[in-house]
Amino acid sequence: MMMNFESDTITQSLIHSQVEITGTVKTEGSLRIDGKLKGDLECGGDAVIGKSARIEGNLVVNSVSVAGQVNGNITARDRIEMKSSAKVTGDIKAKRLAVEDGVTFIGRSEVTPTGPTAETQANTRAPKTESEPPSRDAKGGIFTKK
Amino acid sequence: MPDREKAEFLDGYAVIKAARRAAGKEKEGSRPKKAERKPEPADSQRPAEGKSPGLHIRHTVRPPTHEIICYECGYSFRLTGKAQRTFCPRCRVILDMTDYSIETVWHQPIKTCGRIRLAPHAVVENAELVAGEIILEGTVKEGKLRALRVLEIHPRARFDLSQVHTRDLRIASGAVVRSRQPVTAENIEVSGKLEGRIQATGRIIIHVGGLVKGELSGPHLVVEEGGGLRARCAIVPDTAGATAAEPGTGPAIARPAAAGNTRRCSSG
Repeated sequence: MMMNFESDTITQSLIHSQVEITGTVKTEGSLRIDGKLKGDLECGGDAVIGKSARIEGNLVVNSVSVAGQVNGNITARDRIEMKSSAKVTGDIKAKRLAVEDGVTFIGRSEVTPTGPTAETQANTRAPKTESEPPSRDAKGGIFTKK
Repeated sequence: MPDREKAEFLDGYAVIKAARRAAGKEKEGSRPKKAERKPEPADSQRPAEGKSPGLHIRHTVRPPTHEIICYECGYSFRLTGKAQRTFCPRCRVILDMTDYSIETVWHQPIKTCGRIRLAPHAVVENAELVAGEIILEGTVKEGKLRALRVLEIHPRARFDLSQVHTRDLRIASGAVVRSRQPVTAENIEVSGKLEGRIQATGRIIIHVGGLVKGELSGPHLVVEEGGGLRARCAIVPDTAGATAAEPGTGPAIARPAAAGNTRRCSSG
């Protein structure tokens, strides 16, 4: 059983807990999975892996919130969130990561820190770069424009 | 006045309980039942005129307690208030609870249940420091550190990790710790950078801006959004709960040392 809720801009799909899918699932919108998926998931939007969900395959998403079980690699362009009930066996890669206490995670993680300290450093550096002379490598500088 | 000195070591909550017990004995039989009590006015916290205020304590706030670990036998107990010395309930050793602040070169051993702070320019040489909490900002040469509760490592700290024993490890923002040998502790909090094989029996917390590289194993992992994790992980919660840390028992944020209870240490 698959339900689509279409709004003007965002499409959200739902895979119910009684549904089992074998194969690759592709969507450009958001997706919530509460059922079983034996295959890969490619999601252009945000994905939510519910508490009762079981996925055996790789996930390529924009951002994902995992509360269920995933046996496979997770690659997120933006963010991975692991809830306390999450069980992930596989490698994860994302820009940002949030992990709650109680998760089971076996695999390799590739997440570099992006904290407010880094942002504040970037902010403090920004006015300095304006006062400095433009470098040759700078995009949009006087040397690159003709 | 010996009575006053004695009173400083009394447990405040125990005093209140004793007062209530004494009041209960005095009023036993004459106290009305709960159902028969009349509704009280809004300012009922004030004792009625002509009655002793000690007899009307109904709701008390339990005073905050802090954990004391005996540096002789390792027994852990909780204590309210501040004291410079106390007894270990198990081995009956007098425990020093003074906070120390080392600011120059130091050669002598220190044992305390309080806190030792090594200032950024402090150097400890050939000395063993045992404390409940060690805040490490200086250098340790050929010395041993044993933190009974927490060891906090700051950016300027220089030390040999093999000479350090701690229950909880906290790496402050800006500090970088690299180790070839396994880093083992109960709870590990990372706000700086930690690289190596990390084994925790409790909880590993990566704060915003913190980064853990290498290998990571333990039952509990918490990553705040903005924290970095570039490691091979094996996080399997202990379902039996034998080694699992209770929420809130993790390393707490260091409080500034009380000025009256801190000794400054300096020696040529």
